[in-house]
Amino acid sequence: MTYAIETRGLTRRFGRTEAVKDLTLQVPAGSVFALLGPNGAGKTTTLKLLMNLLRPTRGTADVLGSDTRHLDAAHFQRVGYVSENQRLPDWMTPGELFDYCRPFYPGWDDELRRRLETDLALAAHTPLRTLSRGTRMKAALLASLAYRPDLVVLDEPFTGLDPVVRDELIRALVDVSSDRPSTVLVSSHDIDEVERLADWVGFMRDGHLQFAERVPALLGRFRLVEVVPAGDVVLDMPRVPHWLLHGTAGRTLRFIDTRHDHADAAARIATAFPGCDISASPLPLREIFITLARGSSSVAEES
Amino acid sequence: MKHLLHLVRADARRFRVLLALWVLVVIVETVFRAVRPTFVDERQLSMMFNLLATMLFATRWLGMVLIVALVVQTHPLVGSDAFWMTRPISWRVLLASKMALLVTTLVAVPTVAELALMVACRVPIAEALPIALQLILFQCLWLFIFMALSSVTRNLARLAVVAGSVLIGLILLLNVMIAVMMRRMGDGPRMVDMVPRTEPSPAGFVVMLLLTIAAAFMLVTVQYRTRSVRRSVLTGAAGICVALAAVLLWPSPGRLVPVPDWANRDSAVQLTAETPRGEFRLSHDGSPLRPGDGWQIGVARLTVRGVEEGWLPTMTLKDASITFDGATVRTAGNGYSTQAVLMAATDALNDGPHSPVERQVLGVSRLLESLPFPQAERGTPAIILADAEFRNRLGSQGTYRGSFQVDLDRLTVAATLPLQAGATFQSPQRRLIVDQVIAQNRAASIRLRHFISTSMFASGLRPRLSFYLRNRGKSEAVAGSSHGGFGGLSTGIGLMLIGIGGWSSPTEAGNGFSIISDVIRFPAAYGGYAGGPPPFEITPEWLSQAELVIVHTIPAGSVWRDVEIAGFEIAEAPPPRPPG
Repeated sequence: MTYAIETRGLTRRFGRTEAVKDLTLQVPAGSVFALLGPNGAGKTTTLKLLMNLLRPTRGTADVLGSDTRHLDAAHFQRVGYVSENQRLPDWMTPGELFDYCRPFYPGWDDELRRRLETDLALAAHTPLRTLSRGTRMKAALLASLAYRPDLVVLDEPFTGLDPVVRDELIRALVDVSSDRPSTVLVSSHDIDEVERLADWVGFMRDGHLQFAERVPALLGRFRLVEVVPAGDVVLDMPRVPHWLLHGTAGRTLRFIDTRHDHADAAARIATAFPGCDISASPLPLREIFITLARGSSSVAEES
Repeated sequence: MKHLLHLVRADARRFRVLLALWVLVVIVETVFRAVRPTFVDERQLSMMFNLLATMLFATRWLGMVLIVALVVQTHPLVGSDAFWMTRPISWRVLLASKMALLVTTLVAVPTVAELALMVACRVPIAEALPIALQLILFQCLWLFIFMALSSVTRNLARLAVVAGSVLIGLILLLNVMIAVMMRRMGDGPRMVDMVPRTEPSPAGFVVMLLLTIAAAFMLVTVQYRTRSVRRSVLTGAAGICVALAAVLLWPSPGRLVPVPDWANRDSAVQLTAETPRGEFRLSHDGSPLRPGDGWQIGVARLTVRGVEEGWLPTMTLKDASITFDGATVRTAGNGYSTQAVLMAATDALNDGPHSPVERQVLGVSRLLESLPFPQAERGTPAIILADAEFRNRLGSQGTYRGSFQVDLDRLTVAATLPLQAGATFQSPQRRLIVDQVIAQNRAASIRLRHFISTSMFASGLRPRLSFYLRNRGKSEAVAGSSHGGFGGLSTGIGLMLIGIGGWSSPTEAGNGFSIISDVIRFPAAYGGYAGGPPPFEITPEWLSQAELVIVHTIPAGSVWRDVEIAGFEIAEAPPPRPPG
C-alpha cells in the first residue's frame, strides 16, 4: 500500500504544552481519511504540520513522498488545503479569487471551475468579506479543487454550516474525487457527514492518535451488548479492558465491546454472563466517537 | 516571471488608489519645492506654504509606511493561517513581487521626480547623478526597514506597537548612553579633539549605509524564506552589529588637506604676543552632572605674522604651561578653539578677526562688518587654569609656553554680480539667482534663490560662501548675513528626510538637492558701532555704484606653532562692554 501521508513520531510543542505527541500516522493514497477527536485533541495542529504551516518539534512527516519541511511551490500544485481558520484574501470576489489562483496551477480546469460554481451556486460578485461563512467556505473549496489536486486536506470544513451547504460541499468533493481519485484528509466534528464520506478513520485525543483504521472494520469492531439476567439478580460489570460500561436499565446491563471482531468475542461474553439473555447490535460512528471521546484510552491503545 | 507579474498586478490592483495618491503627493511636493521660494515674500502665502509643506511631508511619510505595511502584510509572513502559505507561491517570487512594486513606487518615482527637478533647475548631470544615487540608497534603507517591521508583524496595529517599542527602546538607549557619557565627562571646560584638517571620506558612512540596507534586506529575506520571526530578527540584529562594527573599525582614510607651500616656510605663520598679559575669565562650561570648582580661561593677545594675502589662520590651543619660580602649571586640557586675531591698522577698533583678510580680498580700505568686535574681548585662549590655581597665581608672572594648531583658510572672490534681479552665479554644487534688490534706510537686502546640490559621495571640504556689497569707487564694502532660508528643511532631520524621498537638507553640510530662498541683509544684525558712528552709510547713491561680491572661504591644511611669552602676567579680564 502506498501512502499519501506518513508521519513518524511527529511532535509539536507550544511552550510547555505538547499539542501533538509522537504521532505516527499513515494515510493510504486514494483514501478519504477522517481525523476525528474532541476539541484540543491536536487535529488542526497535525494538519498544519502536514502543510508546513508549523514546524515539528520532533519527528518527521512526508506528504506525497516529500518531507513536509521542504514543501515548495511545486508540491502545493498537487495539494488543496481548506481550513475554517484560514484568512482568505477577503477583498476579492469569488471570481477574482479563482482568477488569482489559476496561474499558479498548471492543472487548473476552467470547465470544472464553472461546473463547481454552478453546483455550489457561487455567482457572487461581492467581496468574500461580505459573504456568508458557508459561501466563503464554498469559494475556498472550489479554489482548492479546480486544479484536481492529488491530496485535499480539509480542516473542520463543515463547522457551523447549515445542512444544505454541508451537503453541497460533500457532493463537490465526491464529484471531483470520482473524476480522478485523490486522497482526502478531513478533520471534523461532524461525524454524520464524515461517515458518508470517509473510508478510513483516525481518532486523536490529547495529542495522541488513539487508532486509525478502515471504517467498516471500526464499525465491525464495536458492538453495543445488552445483557438481561434470567432471574432477579443485579449484574456486575466484569473488569475486561475492552468492555466499556454503557449503563444499566432496570436489570439490563449495557456495555460496548470494542473488540467484537474477535472470533471468540461472543463466547467470552457468554462465559462472563452465564444463563443471561445476550444481544449485540452495531453502533453508528457517532456513538463510537462519543464512546471513545468519553471513554478510556486503554481501549484504543489496545486496539 | 509570469507568477511575478501576476502577483505584482494583484497587489497593484488592490492598492491602486493608495499608490496613485502617493505618487500624486510626490509630484505635488516636487512642483511645490520648485515654486515655493518664489512666494517667500508673501507673508500669508508663506505661512500657508509652510503648513502645506508640513502636510505634504507627513502625508508622504505616513503614506510610505502605510503602503509598505499593507503591501507586505497582504501576504502575511507570521502566523499559520495565511491563504498564500498553502498555495504554490514561491517565497522568492513573492518577495520579488513585493520588491518590484514597492521599489517602483517608493524608490523609482521619487528618484525620477528629483532628477526632473534637478534637470529643470539646471543642475549639472555630474552633480545630479550622485544625488539620485544617494536618494535611491536612502529610499531603499527606509523601504527595507519598513519591510522588515511589516514582515515580522501581522497587521498595522502590531506594526505600530513594534515600531513604537523599537523607537522608545532606542530613545531610552540613547538617553542612557548620554547619561553615562556625561557622567564620565571631566568637570573642566569642554575640549575639542586635536585633529589636523582632513578631507572627510564618505567611505565609512557609505559602507555603514550599505550594510544597514543589507541587514534589513537579509531580515526580510530570512522572514520570507523561513517565516520564523526569531531567525529573521536575529539575522537582522547580527547585520546591524556588523554595520556598526564596520563603522567603528573602518579605517579613517581621510586625506590630510595639503598645506600651501608658503606656510611650510619657517618664517610663515609666526605667533607673537602683543603684550605679556594673560586675561582670565571664569568659564561656566563644565559638566552639569559634575560641577567642579570652575575654570579660568586665559586669553593672550597673539598676533600671527607671515601669512600671505587672502589667507585666514584659525588657531586652536593644543597644549600650554606657565613656569613660575620652581613650579610649572600645565593647562588642564587641549584643544580649546578660537580664531586668531590679526592686528591690522585700519579700523582696528572695530575689526573682527576676519576683517583685515576680507579687506585684502575685496580690495577695499573700509569694511562695515555685521557685528562689532569689542577690543576688550579680543585674544586667543592660551591656557586654562583651575579657578583655585588662578586665585593662587593672580598677579604673579611666569614663562608661558603654548602649542597651537593653526588651520588655514583661503578667501577668494568667487563672483562679482551686478546688483539687479536675474543676476546668476553658478558653481559646481550651487547656483544662485538674485530675485530682488531692496534698498532700505541705511541698509539693503537682497532676496535670492540658492540651488544647492551636494551628495554624500563628495569628498573634500566644501567652500563656504559669504556675501558683500562693494563700492569700488569709495573703496568700501559691507558684509551681509543670511536671515534664514525658506523652502528647505532643518538640518537635524535632513538626513531622515532624504530617506523619505526627495527632500534635502538646505545646509551645505547636508546632502541632496534643495532650493532655498534667502534674504541677505547689509549690514546684518548691526548692533551699533563700538567707536561711535559707523565709518560710512549705505545710501541710495552708494548702492547705485555697488556690486554684489560672493567670497569663497576654502579650507586648506594645518600647521603647528609654538609660542613663548616671558613675564606672562596672570590678570583678571575686564568686564565685557555692553554692545553699542
